[in-house]
Amino acid sequence: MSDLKNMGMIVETDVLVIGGGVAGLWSSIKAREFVNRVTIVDKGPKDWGGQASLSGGGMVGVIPEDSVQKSLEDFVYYYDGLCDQELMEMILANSYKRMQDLERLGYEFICDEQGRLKGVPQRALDHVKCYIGQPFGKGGKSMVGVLVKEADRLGVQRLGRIVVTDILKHQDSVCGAVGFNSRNGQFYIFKARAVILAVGNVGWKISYGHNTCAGDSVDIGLRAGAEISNCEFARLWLVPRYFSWEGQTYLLPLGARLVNAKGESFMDKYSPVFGGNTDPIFIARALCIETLKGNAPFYMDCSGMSAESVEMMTPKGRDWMEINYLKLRDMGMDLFRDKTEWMIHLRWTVMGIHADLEGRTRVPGLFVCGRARSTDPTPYSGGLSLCLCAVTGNRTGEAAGKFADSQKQLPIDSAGVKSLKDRLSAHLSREGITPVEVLREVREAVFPYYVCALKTKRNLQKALAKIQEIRAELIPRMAARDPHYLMKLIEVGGIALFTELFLRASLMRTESRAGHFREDYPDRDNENWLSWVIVGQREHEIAFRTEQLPIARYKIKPTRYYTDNFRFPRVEHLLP
Amino acid sequence: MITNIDPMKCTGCGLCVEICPLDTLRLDPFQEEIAPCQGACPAHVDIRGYVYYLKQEMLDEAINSLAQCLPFPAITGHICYHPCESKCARKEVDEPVNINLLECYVGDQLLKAQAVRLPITHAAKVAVVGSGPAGLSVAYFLMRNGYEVTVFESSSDIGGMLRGEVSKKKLPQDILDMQIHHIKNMGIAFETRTTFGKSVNLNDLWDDRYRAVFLATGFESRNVTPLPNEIPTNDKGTVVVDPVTFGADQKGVFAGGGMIMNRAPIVKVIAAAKRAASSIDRYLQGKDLKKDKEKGAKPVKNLPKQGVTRKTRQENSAGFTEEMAAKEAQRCMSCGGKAYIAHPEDCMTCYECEVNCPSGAIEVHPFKEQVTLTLPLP
Repeated sequence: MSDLKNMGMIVETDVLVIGGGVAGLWSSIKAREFVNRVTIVDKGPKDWGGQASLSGGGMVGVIPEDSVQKSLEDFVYYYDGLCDQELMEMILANSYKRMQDLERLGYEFICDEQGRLKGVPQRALDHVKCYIGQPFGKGGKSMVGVLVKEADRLGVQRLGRIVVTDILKHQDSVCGAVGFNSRNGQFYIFKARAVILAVGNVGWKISYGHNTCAGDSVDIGLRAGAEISNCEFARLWLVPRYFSWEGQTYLLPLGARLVNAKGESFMDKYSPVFGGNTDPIFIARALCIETLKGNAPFYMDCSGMSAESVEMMTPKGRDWMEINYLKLRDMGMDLFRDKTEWMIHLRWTVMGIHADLEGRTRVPGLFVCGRARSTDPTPYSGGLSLCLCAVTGNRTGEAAGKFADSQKQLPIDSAGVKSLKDRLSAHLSREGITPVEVLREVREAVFPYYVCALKTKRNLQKALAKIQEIRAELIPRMAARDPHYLMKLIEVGGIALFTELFLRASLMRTESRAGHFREDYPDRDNENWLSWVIVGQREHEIAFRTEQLPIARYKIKPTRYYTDNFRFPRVEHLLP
Repeated sequence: MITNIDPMKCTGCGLCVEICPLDTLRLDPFQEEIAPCQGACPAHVDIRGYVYYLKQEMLDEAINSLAQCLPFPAITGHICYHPCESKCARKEVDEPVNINLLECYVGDQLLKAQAVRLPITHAAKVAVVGSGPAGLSVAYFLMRNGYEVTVFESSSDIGGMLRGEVSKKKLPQDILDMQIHHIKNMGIAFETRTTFGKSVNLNDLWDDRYRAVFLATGFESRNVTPLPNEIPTNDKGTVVVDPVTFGADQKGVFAGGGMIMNRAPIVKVIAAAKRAASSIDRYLQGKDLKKDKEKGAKPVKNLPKQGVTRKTRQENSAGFTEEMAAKEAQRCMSCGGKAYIAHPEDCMTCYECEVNCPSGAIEVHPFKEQVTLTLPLP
């Protein structure tokens, strides 16, 4: 053990939580009921709170007068049948308890005059409702605040600026993790009886807000022996071309229109039922088709909004949105007055670690919660993330806490730790390619719409060849001149890895469903594809398998499909 | 994207560095204008500098930074009256930073670390007579400057007046012993049981190729230890020295500590010793001892105050743990330090820094980074 001590800082704990966002905070708070020592590490500042800090703080919930069964039916329909019904039911059924927990901790939801919780229906679904937090538009910060306070009250140790790179195992079971401080390079060895991965989304590091998400869960999880699912489902998001704006979901129902270069409200053509009031993944598909027809660029046109609506949506309150708005106005750009150029951008994927209801992976002692676990096939409902982070965080915290309480600390192999440390140091001690340039190559390969949005075998294969070359030729030659860049290097390695998984899983799924559109397989194929694509790693080989959904066991047999509300023409012949 | 941090407005409070989710910012604490704490410290210890390293949890750098200013921080941490805290700008926000315990913490860590023997870069040798705080300090600063130094001590124990602090229970015995052990390991030679004027005199030293002598046998030794006739003293037994250079009226001889002044707080003794060491260096390099002396640094005018979050001062009678030290270091506002954009390409235009900057120094441009597009837009 003495040689471990010479290798770095040793932190001994019972449950180690990787990621200090809301999922990590919820799990740490719950785990403390079962063990004394819970430690959260985050690669950002320790009080940051992950992506939730930038969110509005709205949360999907099923309050007692509403029906869990009906909300679940909505999700099965919304996900085109590809829904882990037991997981979604568990999330929905426990959502109200977590809302009550939050209220007890001091978080406030917006209520109507009678003091009743005020739910906002989502994405033209009949029963799914989002409950908005206080203050409006910035509730995420306040939610993080109450959870941080509770974690501190319970004596949860929270460490910031630490990048965890690997899970440590003794034989098949987890015994800790290693990482380093991105400021001073200090190497860390964590001894733990259970580890919870709560590292959030998997993404390509695109502003705004999703810039913190890299491939951490995939990179760490796969190497530790866990499986990943939903890799083929990427998230395209509707954004202003030049700046950032939160709240477009609220602009459209208030009379704003997304129009093409001809001024047409093109979504009405593709979905007379929903028009623009749907998930951006479907609008993205329409935008691609419009581009092929020569109808780019696209604009957000707010001229149809009433004066009251404009007043309501004009950012106020000295937060970033107001500063952003005022600066843009000074530059002669006024979202409410002008047509503002809008576009779609590939941002993140919904892939995540495959786990059971308690967040157990197939590696004993390794748990996962929040966005780091796989839950859905892309279509998003506002507030679902904070809901699933709360419920799965809480549930996984309990399972991991109980597991840790029943376990002894397994020994740590110091030779293994040394080789992990040496591998990290090697990046620092040589000249090489900067991670940011490799990231650019990855984006160039996968970002074009004919790769990530309107998929075909030919273009997916071409992109895959590029990514495999990047992984073979560039990734091993990256170097970092200081610990800050070492963090970026680790992230880019993970991004290249998950990009390969995205392309390979996209090739496998020879049908179109939910957030996955194959122009060469435009139809839904229930016979073969009510299945998940699941990826694992054996030795150093990535291996794919499929697993059928246990529909016979599920309460709801899929009969209605959300994508049936759209009429997209075939454009395969127009693609590059 | 973040585009600018105005150095005229930035007060160095460091909030932006602490909160940036993508770690794009850093702070440069090494500035010409000195922080109030440094101004209040007779030895001008760069508190802002070493505490900034503590904030970053860069312990080795913190130790080095403090060791440049102070010869034995583990000791001064215990017995200094820390005037620095009385001027700490944090007073205006909540309470002064606990600089005293931070110094103790760094001092203790210094003693745990392996002593580094610095290379000898000068040919001349220096003799120091007396191993109390003044003698040890001069020896230390000259050794850091690359001189070979030997300390002569009449008693069998090293430490002089510092031993008195131990018997007064102000300074733990083991800290003193460990600190002296550490100084020895850094390469300063000691000759104990060697009384100047008896077992060794000035001419012996010159014969041994010593080129300068620093006399610091202490307050107690006045009129007791006979000084060689060539060194003039006044009727109180005080060695007559030039108040600027500490040079006695004898070439190559300098004096300090209790030999030239009445009892003074240790930090003032160290401050004087630092100036004396600098004079000895100038003398040995054949430079004018009075010209081009360091000018007084200007104090920071624009102090952080408004909008800084209140944080509780950490206290612990047993000294700081690592966690407490990091927490207390975070309270330091690095007065006069300057934040800068170290990794602009990592900015995600979240405005956290601009929204939270108490002095309005940060400018974020609303346009986000330009990366590969998904749609081929004109």
